Formats: sequence, C-alpha cells, structure tokens
Amino acid sequence: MPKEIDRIVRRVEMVFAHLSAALIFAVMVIVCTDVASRYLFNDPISWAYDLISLYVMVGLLYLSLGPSYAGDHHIRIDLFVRMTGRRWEPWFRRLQIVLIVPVFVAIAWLALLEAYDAFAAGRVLSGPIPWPKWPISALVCVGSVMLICRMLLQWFNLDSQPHPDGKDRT
Amino acid sequence: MGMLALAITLLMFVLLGVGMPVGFALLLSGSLGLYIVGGSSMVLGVLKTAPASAASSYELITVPMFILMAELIVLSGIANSIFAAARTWVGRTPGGLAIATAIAGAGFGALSGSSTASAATLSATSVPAMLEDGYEPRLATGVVAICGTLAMLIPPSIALVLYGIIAEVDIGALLIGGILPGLLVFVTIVVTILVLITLNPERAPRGQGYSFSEKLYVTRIAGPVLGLFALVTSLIYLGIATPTEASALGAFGAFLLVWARGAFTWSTMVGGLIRAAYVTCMILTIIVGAKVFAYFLALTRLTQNMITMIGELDVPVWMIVSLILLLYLVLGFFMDQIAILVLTVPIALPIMTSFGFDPVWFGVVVIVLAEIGLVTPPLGLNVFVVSRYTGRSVGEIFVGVAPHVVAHIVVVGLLVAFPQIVLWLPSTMAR
Repeated sequence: MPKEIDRIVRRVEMVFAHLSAALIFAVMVIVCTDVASRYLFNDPISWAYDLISLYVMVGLLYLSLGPSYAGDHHIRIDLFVRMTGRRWEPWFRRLQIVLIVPVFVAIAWLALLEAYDAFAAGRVLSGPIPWPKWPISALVCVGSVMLICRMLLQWFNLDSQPHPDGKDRT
Repeated sequence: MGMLALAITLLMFVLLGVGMPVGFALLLSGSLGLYIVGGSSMVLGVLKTAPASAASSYELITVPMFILMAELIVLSGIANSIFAAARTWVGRTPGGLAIATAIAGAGFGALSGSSTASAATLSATSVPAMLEDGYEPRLATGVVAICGTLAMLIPPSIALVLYGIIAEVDIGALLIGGILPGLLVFVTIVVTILVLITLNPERAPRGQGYSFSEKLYVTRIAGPVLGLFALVTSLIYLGIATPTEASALGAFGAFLLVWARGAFTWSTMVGGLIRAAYVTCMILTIIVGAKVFAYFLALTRLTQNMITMIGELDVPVWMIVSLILLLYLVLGFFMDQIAILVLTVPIALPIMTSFGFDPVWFGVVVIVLAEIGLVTPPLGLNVFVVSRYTGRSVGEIFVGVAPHVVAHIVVVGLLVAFPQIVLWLPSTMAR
C-alpha cells in the first residue's frame, strides 16, 4: 500500500514539476511580449503584471515545493550532519519532518479555508481586471499538501528510499 | 523580548545544524517565536497571509529568469567555447591557461549568475587542459575555485538580486554597482596568478600559440556570449528596461542561442526549465521563511534595540564596521551565502545605514565577503564542487586557493577605503 501511495505521489509530483516548467517558460514569453508590445506598439499587456505576480509566482513556488523537496533541491547547512559521519542523518531527517509538518498542515488548512471562503463569496481583487482570489489560496493549499505527503512518505520509508544525493527523482 | 529573540535565533541555528532546509528552519523558528509572543491567533494570522504574499511580487521574477538564462546557456554548450576562445588569445603568455580560466570565469559568471555552476563548468573544461599542459594541480584547481565566485558579482548576479529583494534596494543599481568591483576582482585574480608564477615559473609552463585567424574564429563562436551580456547590462544601465524585464529578455536571448546552436531538444529544454523551477522554489521558500521570521523579529524590536545599543557604544564607527565585515567573513566559513544574506541583512543593513553607509555599497561588499566564504574551509562550497568534478583532494584545493583569499581580503579593504569603486557607475545610470 505505501508503495502505491508513493507511486501516485510521484506521478502528481511529476505533473507539478512539468507545470512549474511551463509557468517559468510562460513568464519569459509574457514579459518579453509585454516589453515588445510597449516599445514597438506603445500597447503593453494590461494583465501581465497581475497575472505573473498574483498567480504565476505563487504557482511556481507551491507546485515545485513537493518535487523539489523530494529531489533534495533545498539548501541545507549539513555541517553537523557531516561531523557526525552521516550516521544520524536519517534521525535528523525524521526530526525535521516531525517539526515542520505541523507548520505546513496549518498553512494548508488555512489556505483551504481561505480558498473555500473566497470561492463561495465570489471574492475578486480590486482593479481593472477582477481577478478571482481563490486560486491563490488553492495553489498554496495543494502545494503544501503535496509537500506533506512527500514528507510523510519519507518518514515511513526513509531508510529504503533516501534522497541524499540531490538527484531529481522526477 | 531580547532573550526570547536570541533563544529563537539559537533554535534556528540548531535546526540549520541538523540539516533542515534553510527556508523551513526560518519558517519553523519564526512561527514558534510568533506563537510565544502573540499566541495562536498571531501565528495563524501570519501563516494565513505570508505564504502567498511573500511570493506575490513582480520583482521576484528576476530570480527565475536569471536562473533560466544560466540553465539555457549551459544547454547551449557555449560555456565551453568561452574558455576555448580565451585560451587562444592568452594561452601563450606565462600562466596563460590560468588567465584564460579567469577570463572564462568572468564571462561565464556574467551569463550564469551562479558560482557553483560556474565552478563546475570551469572544472570540467579548464582543469584537464591545465593539468595536461603541466600546470601545478594546486594552482590549477585553486584558480578554478576562485574564478567561479566571479559569478556572484558580475551581472546578472542572483546573490545581488536576492540582496536587493531582502534589503529593498534598487536591483538595477546593485547589478551595475557590481561591475567595477567584479572587474577589480578579476584583475586581482590575474595579478595573483602572475605573482605565483613569478615566484615559481615551474608552476605554469608557457602554452601553445595560435594564429590570428584561429583567434578570430573562436572569438566568433564566443561572440553571442558577449552580446547577451552587453544586452542585459546595457538595458539596465541605460534605463531602457527594468532588471525584471532585462532578465526575461536575457533568458529569451539564451533560448535563441540554444536554438541557433542546434542544441534544442524537448527533453533537455524541459529538464532545464524544471531545474530552474526547483532553484526558484528553493529561493522563494527561503523568502517566505524569512518573511515569517522577520514578523517575529519586528515584534521583538531586536533590530531597533541593537541599533540603539550599538549607537550608545563608545567605540569608533570604523571598529563597528570592521566587526560587522569580520562577522560576514567568519559566517562565510560555515554557512551558505544565500542563508547568510537572508539571516543577517535585515539586522546588519539598518545598523550600517544608521551610520550613513550606502546600502548598494554594503550589498556589494557583503557579496565579495561571501565570495571568500565560498572558498574557505570548512564549508567552501566551490572547493567541494571543484574537488568532485576534478577528483583532486579538497585539502589541495584549499591550499591552492589560499593566495587568492588573501588577495580578496585586500580587495575588500580597497572597497571599504574607496566606496566610489562601487557607487560611481550606479550614479551615472539613466533612470
């Protein structure tokens, strides 16, 4: 059963990683088009600024959160771990998971409530384009849940599937 | 409150010590501190808004765009040709290959903004060439380790962008302010190589000479690199585009280079985009964690209390500044450069500005000090990267890079004594 869950989580992580890749490419294309439109036609893209700052950057962070953690792409200062000859590394990793999971559970839960409230009330941001608010919180919630899933999987099969080499598992 | 701030900061260092990712350590310790100060309503209030608001910034796209630019340059394979071009031009001079490495380091740093990527690329290309030509391994690996650090100063520098975001300083001024110190560091590396060779000529034999047509041919290959660097920097300097826009245009230019050189495949492109997304995620996670921690620090008034306390001390300003700069040097021995910036700048910068120092100057000086941390034991990330790619011992590379560390400290002294080296070019920028 844990193997099945692991496979599903990995697939979702892979989808999220590809979505993140698409977002980063989209940022490049949108900003370049915006600059070209402004200088060549004096007609900048009105929605570029809001779309990127409201949704794309949040999406980029939270969609990559689970897969980047799974691939060990986050900066760690492992001086003490190295000093102890990596013997204690699995236990340090478990300690980190126990400590950080509650914080992300709180973030995911708060974001879920916020997304639901914003969706039910049809809340939008003030400005020329009425951007809906709920996708922002939904992205935070989904990304945090994926991170929690990966951490819990690591907790249960840490020794059989470590990721100390920083290799991308997606 | 002061004791609580210290206790939570200590907890954060313990969490970092046991290998918790920097962003998570900041998030956890900041949340705990907020809970102790203001109870659950306070911490839940911050956790409700900060995770999204910290990432919702248009200026932040400079980070993924410069990272993407670096990834695409690596994909284009053009990084290797920079060294080849430099080698044909200066290879014949004494220590020519080492100097070519410094030129390639500056060139690749100008494009990648990542010192680790720069060190890895240089390790794979220039070290084998130098060893084949009979260079002393210590000299060869030491040069590569120190040259990788040039990426942190020469625009586009991710470290300077991050400093600008944390310190809320004009990123364009920072990137332009890094140019002259970057050139100064480059000249210092070359002078150090020449001094080392003068002391013992056997360290680096004279290399092969090339005809003028050969020189022109390789320069044509490396030309687009110079073009892209000139595009990004001049757009910012002339005020034609903001750093945000220039970064996206730079990434697009790199994408065209990949295409033009026939290096484009869907799988490598997607791989490069995913790697850029992961690095961006890592940096954004740190920014979110730093924001939560900053809320806690603001409640404890730690920064203001420290400024007041230091202001009341009966010691000359230069001593306080020297101590702060020394602290950065020491922190660099143990901590990652991004972590240093995130953890210290919110406290150190207000202290420095309260004494009348310019935040752009301080940012560049901190980056040069962080560069030194990249090549000093025990952490010395660049040394480990060079060791892994070349198979040489870490100890040998640390010894090889030591003369460059001394030279870098002299550079820091020059930047402190003559702040105009940093501030002159930004003062001439079109706004």
